[in-house]
Amino acid sequence: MDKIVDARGLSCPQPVILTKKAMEGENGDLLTTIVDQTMALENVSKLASSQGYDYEVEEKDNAYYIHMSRTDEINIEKGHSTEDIAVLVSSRLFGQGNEELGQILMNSFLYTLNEMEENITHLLFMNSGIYLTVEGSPVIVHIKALESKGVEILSCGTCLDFYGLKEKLAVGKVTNMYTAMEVLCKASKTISV
Amino acid sequence: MACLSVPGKALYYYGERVIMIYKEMRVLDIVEKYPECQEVFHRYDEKVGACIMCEQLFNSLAEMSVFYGLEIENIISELEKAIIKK
Repeated sequence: MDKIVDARGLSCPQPVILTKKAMEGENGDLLTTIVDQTMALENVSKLASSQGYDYEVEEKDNAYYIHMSRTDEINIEKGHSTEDIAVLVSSRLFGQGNEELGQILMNSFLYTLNEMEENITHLLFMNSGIYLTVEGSPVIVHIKALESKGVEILSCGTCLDFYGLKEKLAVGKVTNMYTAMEVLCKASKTISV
Repeated sequence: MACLSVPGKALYYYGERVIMIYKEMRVLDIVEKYPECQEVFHRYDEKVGACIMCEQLFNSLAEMSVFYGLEIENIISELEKAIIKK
């Protein structure tokens, strides 16, 4: 039997919050949310996708019935993987383009890494990426939080020397290319930004 | 409690400023954790002429601010004020 969330007459963000609570509660693998606004339909559908649910929309009686189901297979895909992940950060900005946006995205990236339940073992900082591990870094709080969870934080010694920042390292240890390559080769997966 | 104080608009615990709202937090996570913040977003709806909690629900506060050209520090300050007021 599906759990039912009747969110008719409610505007955003209520339908999404109620659906999220239902997903997190007992028997949250099969549920139907009923909404009567297209924006609520769109947002609940986005939530379903982001939480690893398959969903179908049925339109009846001037309302949308969003039928959501989470299969075991999706649960496995969704997370809690035991594979080791090493993350290589080789720039102080995320991606190329606007500098302000690059900083915002790097902030979001490191914050999200903290929120994830994946088995991240190492964060390697190379080239201008080392600006993120030294005093004055705008993201130091996220990197320290990762370190406190057991993630090893490594910054390239050659890069710290090059930028004259060796004395300013504020989190983690100094590493060399040999160790960095060893970490990247041994990891089951690597993420490079 | 002597260790908890609210000078001005910020919350302090043993003299350390307690950060409740990070700019990386999604709008959804903020209003789910602190429902009293919905009122602040509604106020900004009028300024930007859009429903922020409809259109930006899955974006971070920082992304939302850039999208509408808003001052993020002001928003964070108002959100924290709403939480403390409650």
